[in-house]
Amino acid sequence: MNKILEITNLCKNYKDFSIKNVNFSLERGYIMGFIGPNGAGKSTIIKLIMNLIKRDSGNINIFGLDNKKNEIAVKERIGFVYDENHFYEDLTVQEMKNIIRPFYSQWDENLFKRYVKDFGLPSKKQIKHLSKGMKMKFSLAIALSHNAELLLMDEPTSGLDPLIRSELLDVLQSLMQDENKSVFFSTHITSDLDKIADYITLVNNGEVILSKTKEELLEEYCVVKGSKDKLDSNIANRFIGIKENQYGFEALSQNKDEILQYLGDSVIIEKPTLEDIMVFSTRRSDQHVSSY
Amino acid sequence: MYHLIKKDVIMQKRAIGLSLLFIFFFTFTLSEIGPSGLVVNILAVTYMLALGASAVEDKNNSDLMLVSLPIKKDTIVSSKYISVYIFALYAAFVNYLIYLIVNQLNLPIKVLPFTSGGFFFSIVAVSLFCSITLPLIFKYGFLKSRVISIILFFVFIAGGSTLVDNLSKKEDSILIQKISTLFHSSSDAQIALLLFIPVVIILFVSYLISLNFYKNREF
Amino acid sequence: MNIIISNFSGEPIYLQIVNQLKELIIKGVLEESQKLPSIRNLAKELKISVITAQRAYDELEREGFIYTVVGKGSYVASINKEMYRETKTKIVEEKLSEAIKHAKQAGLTEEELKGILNHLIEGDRVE
Repeated sequence: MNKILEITNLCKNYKDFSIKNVNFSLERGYIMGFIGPNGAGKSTIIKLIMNLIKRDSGNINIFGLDNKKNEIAVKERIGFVYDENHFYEDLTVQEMKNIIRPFYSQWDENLFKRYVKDFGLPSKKQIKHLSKGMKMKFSLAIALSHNAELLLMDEPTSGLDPLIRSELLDVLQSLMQDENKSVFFSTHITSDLDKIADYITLVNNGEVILSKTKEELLEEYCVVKGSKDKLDSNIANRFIGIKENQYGFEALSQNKDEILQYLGDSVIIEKPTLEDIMVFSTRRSDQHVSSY
Repeated sequence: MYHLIKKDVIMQKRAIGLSLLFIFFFTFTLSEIGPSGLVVNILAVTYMLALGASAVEDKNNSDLMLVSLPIKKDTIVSSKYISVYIFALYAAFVNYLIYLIVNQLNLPIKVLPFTSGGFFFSIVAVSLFCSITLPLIFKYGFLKSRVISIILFFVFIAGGSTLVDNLSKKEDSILIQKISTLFHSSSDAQIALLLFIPVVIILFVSYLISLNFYKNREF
Repeated sequence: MNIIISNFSGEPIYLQIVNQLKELIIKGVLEESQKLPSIRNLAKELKISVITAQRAYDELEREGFIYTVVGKGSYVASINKEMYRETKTKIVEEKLSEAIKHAKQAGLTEEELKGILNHLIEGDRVE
C-alpha cells in the first residue's frame, strides 16, 4: 500500500455547515489539486487533516498512521503552507526560522539557506514588512526544509500575481522529481492546476463531488455548445449543468461518447478546463445564470 | 520546552526595555505603600510581559502555526506557565538590583524595599493570577479573554495590597487575630509552607484545566 | 529534441507527446536504444502532470516505439517499416478528416472536395 494520505468516511458537524462522509486518497509521488468554491469546506478538511479541529467520525491516515494517535510523528513529516501569515510578524525571517528549526528533528539548514537564496528572501527583514508573495515563499521555505514527505497547502496562491504562482508551480514540480513525495494543494484558482496536477478532488457543500486523475476527468467530461433548439428535456437531463443565453446554450457532460452519439456534429464539443468542471458541477440549481 | 520559553522572551525583547522603565517608575512611585508595592510592581511587569507575549501570538492567529508544528500540547501549555515565572523572576531581580544599588551607595532616594516576605507574596500573587488567566487564554485565546484578565489584574492589585496592608497593620478582627496567632506561633518557614502548598495545588489544577482546554480547542 | 505542447489543441496532451516522440523516432532524431528523459523530468520540463507523462510513455511502449528497463529508464526501441507506414497512415487520416470538417463549414460538396484532393495530387506529381 502506497497511500500517503487516506481519508475515509470523514464527518464533522457544525451548526450551519458539515463535512459529510468524505472519502479520497492520494498516492506517493503525485500532486493532488483540491478544488471547490469558497466555503465548500476545503480549509475545514485541511484543518481536520492537520488535527487542528476534531473530527466527529471517520479516519485520516497519513503515511499509513492515524493522524491523531501519531500526531507528532505525522507532523514531523508534513510541510504546511497556509493562506494567511501565522508567523510572529514582529520577528525577522531569521529569528522566526530559529524558533521553528529545533522542533523538526530532520531540519536541513543548508537546504533552507538554498531556498532563502533562490527565493530572494531578506533574512534580516521583519515578517510584517514582507510582501504577500514573500510571506508565502518564506512559509514554503520552512515547509520544504525538514524533509517533509507530504506538502499540504491551503490556498497558497490566493492573492498572488501570476509570476509568483508560476514560480511556485516550478518549485512543486522540482519537488516531484522525488517519487516518494506528494503535494496536496487547495485552491480556487484552477488554472494553477490545469497543467501540473495529477489528481483532482472537487468538494462542494462539505461533500466530495469527484476525486480522480486529471487525465480521466478531461477524457470523460466535455463542454457542449449549441443552439437552444437542440436542447430538449431528454438531452438536458444528461447534462451536469446548463447555462443558457439569448443565442444558445453551454453545458457540461460527464459522458462525451453519449453526447457524440445523441448530438453528433450538430453541436460544438470542447475539451473542458478544470474551471468549467468546477463551475458547472457546483452551481446551485436555483441560480440559473442568464444573460438578461 | 526551552525553545518555547525562549520564543516568548524573544518576542518580548522590545517590551523588556519598556518594562525596565516601568520598574523604575514603580519603584519610586510605589515606595510609599511599603511591601505591597513590591507585589504590585512584580505582578504588573509580569502581566505586561507574559500576556504581551500571548497578545502577539493572538494577533496573527499564530496558535494555528504552533499547533501545526510537531510539538506536544502539554509542552506548549507548561512552557507558558514557566515563562510567566521567568518574567516574574526577572521583575523581582531588577527590583532587587535597584534596591541593592540604592542601599549600598546610600543614595538619597526612596525605593521599594526588597524583603523576602514581599518577594514571597509576589510569587503567590503571580501564581494565583496566572492560575486564573492562563486557562482562559488557552480556551479562548488572548483577545477574547483580555477584558477578564484586565479586571482580574486590578482585583488582584486592589485586593492583594489591601490584604497585605491589613495583615501588616494587624487589625483587631477575630479572623486576623486568629491568623496572626497562627502566624506568630509558627516559624516563617512554616507559614511559607502553609501558603505554598495550596498555591502549588491551585497551580497544578490550573495547568490541568489549561491543558484540557487547549487539547479540546478548535483552531 | 523538441517537444511542443499546445494547451488549446483538441488533441489530449499525452497524445501530442506520443505523436511528436514517434515522429522524432521515425525521422531518426532519436536513435535506437537512446535513453529518453525520465517521466518526472519530462513532466517538469513540459509543465505537465506526472500521470500525463506516464501515460504518453505507456502508450509509446504499447505501440512498440520504446521499451522500459525497470529501475533504469526508457529507451528507443528498434522500429520496422510497417510500423512507420501505419503511423503515417494515421496522420493522413487525421489531416483528411480535418479537411472534411473545413469543407463542411464552407458548404463544399463531396465532388468539390474530391476535386481539390485530385488537383493537389496532380500538382505534387508535376513538381
